[in-house]
Formats: sequence, structure tokens, C-alpha cells
Amino acid sequence: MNPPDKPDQPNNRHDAPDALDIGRWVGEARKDSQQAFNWLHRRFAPLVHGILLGRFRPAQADELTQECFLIAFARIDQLADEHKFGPWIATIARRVRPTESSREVLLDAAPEIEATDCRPDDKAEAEALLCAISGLPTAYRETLMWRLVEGLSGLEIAELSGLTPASVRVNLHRGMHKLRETLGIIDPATRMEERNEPRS
Amino acid sequence: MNHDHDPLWDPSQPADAELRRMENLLASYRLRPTTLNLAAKPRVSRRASLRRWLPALAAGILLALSIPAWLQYRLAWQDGRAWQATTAETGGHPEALTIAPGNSVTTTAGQTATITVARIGSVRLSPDSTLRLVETRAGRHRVSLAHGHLRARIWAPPGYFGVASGAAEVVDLGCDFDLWKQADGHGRVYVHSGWIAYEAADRQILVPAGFEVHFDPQQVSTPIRRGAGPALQGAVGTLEIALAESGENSTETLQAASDVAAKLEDADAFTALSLLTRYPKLAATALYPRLARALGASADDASHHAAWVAGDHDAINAWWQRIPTPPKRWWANWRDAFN
Repeated sequence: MNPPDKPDQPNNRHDAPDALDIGRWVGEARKDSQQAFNWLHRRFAPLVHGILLGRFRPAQADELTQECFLIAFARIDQLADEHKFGPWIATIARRVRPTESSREVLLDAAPEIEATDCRPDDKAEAEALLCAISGLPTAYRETLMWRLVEGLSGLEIAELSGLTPASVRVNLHRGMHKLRETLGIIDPATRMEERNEPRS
Repeated sequence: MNHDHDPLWDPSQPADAELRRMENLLASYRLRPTTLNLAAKPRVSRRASLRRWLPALAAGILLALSIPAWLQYRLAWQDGRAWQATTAETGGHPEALTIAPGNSVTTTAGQTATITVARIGSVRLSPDSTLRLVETRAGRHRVSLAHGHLRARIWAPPGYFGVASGAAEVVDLGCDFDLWKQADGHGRVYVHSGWIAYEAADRQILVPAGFEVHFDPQQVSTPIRRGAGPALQGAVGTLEIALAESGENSTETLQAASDVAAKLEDADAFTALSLLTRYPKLAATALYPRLARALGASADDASHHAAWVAGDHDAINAWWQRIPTPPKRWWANWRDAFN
């Protein structure tokens, strides 16, 4: 089976890969295709990083993103459905633990910015924002990380994560509502509108 | 479902100022494009390789020349000069303040503070905590934590920074650590990198990275590796009780020490080393050969064994030197200087 056309052309960030593409590339990766590994890594790295950023501090999230892909590629023969690479590697990211050499970070500690070019005020605000997102329920947290941090569109999130577009949209809007509430930038009168559980 | 005119769904749609602000702030956390390093490496010609390395080599030489001046500046500090701090509240604007010796910083629920420790590092104060600056001058910076939690990241020679905790003091040996303390004097310290020394009137307990000690106003526990199993933690606790109640030579103590040895993993070698340093007579138990195995030393050296039981410092130091990162190598934790 051949990989899709123009495999190494950088994709538009808002062009979501379809399940067929993903299945083909996973098939190639199973044949140890370096090109396939690179494609899967490039497309799914934001998905994995977004999950890890909700669990670990930024520098560790970067490091563990690579770790997740190394684990996934080493076990890619265990993936039952080639089209479900996204949900599969997302599960790996939710379960991965820091390696022995990696510095341990308390999950309940506020995340820290490792390196930014922004002003001190921005840094503190960004840190507080990231901290607030990290404290949201998992479905909201991950969806908002993918959208606000990684810059993925709703459609990309759905294609990469395996969630339905409707679920992604609901999680985005309810998550944003919760986030504003947490940050104290929402009218308290509207708080009663959204009390339902997140979709996943 | 209609996705038109929804900037939350489609980032290319015009968004309100608040959403744009969030996107801009959080963009700094976005994953930077990287390539995955699998086994295959691209072949690079020798000339291209040289072109790649020359700027790095020049930068390295420049860096090496500027390090002594930078280090001197980093460690210098005028006596009593105030520290800079920033408090931040969820949803609020950060507020800058200065802390002079004798002043305190108290955070409320939902508020944190980041305090710059002269030029040698920083302390992050969690909500509901109170910290007081006791003393600051070149070579000696001391704070006290009345209650709450702090995380200190210091890169400086041993002893430059310390946190008073009642009659004891947590002294930084060039490291990154968490300190929790309750108002009644109970608390714990966890070391992320480097070492700390927990110093009370009559004893000093060294704690390396990955280990934790618990303390109260009267005593401090043996360092235990975070991740050590509950069986080992229980065995060490039993041994400490036996030591306190029956002394080093009692049957209960010797049995408890052997029980600790049976539950030790190699990664817990420092727990055994700490116990045998504090209570050399325990070397007569299975702890000694277990520590020897963990450190790759010989347990059959009868003279060394006898010297340890007798509390000989040279014998004890010989095995301390087998630790991969001894306390004096504070400079090896240089990453803490760039937190």
C-alpha cells in the first residue's frame, strides 16, 4: 500500500487528516517507514502535547511528548484498528509517567512557564490561565489545551482525537464557560446555565 | 450543527478580544516543531558538520570566558538589601513588592507569591503561606516559613540559602526543593535536585534528590525515596520507634534493622546509608551487606565492617564517596540557575 500523495508536504494546520490517511500511514509505519513515523509524529504531536500539558509542567510535557511517540512506535503492532491511532496515542499520553531521570513534578502544583518571550505581567497571567485550564475536568481541559494552546481547529481536534465533532464543540463551549467562571470573568447570573457533565 | 461564525470552533474566524488574548498568552506553551529522533540519523558531510559546529564552538569559548564574571555577580549581594517579589491571584493582576529583612509575605487562599532570592534563585510561595525574610547578605540568605508551602530553586554554593523551621533549619546545598510546614511545627521536605541538609541542634540529616524527610519540633525522620513501597516505609518507621524506645543494641532494634534490609531496593541505598551513618552499630545487622550490594562495594572486608560498627569516620566516608552525586557537586545542578 502506498502512502498518500505528497507525504512530506507540510499540511495546513487547519486541514484535518482523514481516517483513511491515518490508517494508511499507520500501515506504512508498521513496515518501519521513517516517512510514516515522521508524518504521524508531525500530525499527532499537538494532540499528545496538549494532554501532557494538563498533567505536567511545560518542559516535561515537551520531553514526554517524544517519549509517548517512542512508546507508540515500539508497540504499533499492538494497535488493533489502524484508523484509531489518535485515541490510542492519547491513551498512552494519559498514562505515561516521567522516566527515572526526569524530574518529578507534583500534579497539583501550578504549572510554570519554562521560557517565554513575553513581559512579566503576561507571564504571570499566562501561568494563571494555564493553571486554570489544568484544573478543569479532563474532557474540557484537553479540548481547551488543543484549541487554545496548540491552535487546533474543532475539526482537527475531532479527527485527531476520535471524538465526534458535536462532542468537541460542546466540550469547547462548556469548557470555555467553566474557564471564564474560574477566572472570574463571567456574569454569575449565567453560571446556572451549564451544569451538565462533559462529553467524551 | 452549524459551525459558521464560531471562532472557538474555527481559529480562522474573527474572535473577540478576550479569546484572542488567551490565544496569544497560551501560544508560548505551544509545542515547538521538532523531529522525532528514531534510530536513523541523517548523514552530514565533514565540511557541513564543521560549518554547523564552528559557531557553537565560538559561543562555547565566549561562554566559558564570561562564566567567572557572571558567577561573581550572581553570588554578590549588599547586606540587608531588599528582595523583589510578585504576588498573583487567580484572575487578578500581579502585584510587585519588596521584602526587607524582618518583613513577611503572607499569601491568601488562591494567591501565590514568587520571591527572588537575591540573585541566586527564587522561592515560590503557595496559597495560605507566610514567609519572613530573616537575613540577607552575600553568602548567607535566610528566611523562615511560619506555615504553608514553598518551592525553592537555588543555584549557589552550599549554605548560601536556608529556611528556618522552628529550632531546625533546612539548608540548601545547591538544589531545588519543596518544604511544607504546619503551624504546629510538623512538616516535610522533598528534594527535586541536588541536596539539602536538615540541621537541628545536635544532628544534621542530608537529603538527596528524589528523597523526602518528615519532621516535627523534636525530631526528623530518615530520608525515604519518594516511590518507595509502603512495606519499606513501615519497616523504617518501626526501626525509628525501636531506636527511640530501646536504643541501638536492643533485640527489637536489630530485628527491625534486618527487616528494613530485607525490604530495601538498590534505589533506596541512601536510606540505608543515612541509617548506618546516624546509627553505626546497625552495621552489625543485614543492613551493612545490603548497602554494600547496592553500592557495588565488598561486604567481605572485615576490617571495614568492624570500623563502621565502631563509628569510624573514614570507613563511613569511604562509602559516601560511592554515591554518584555527592553533596559537594552543587555546580552540577546548573539547570536550577535558569528556572
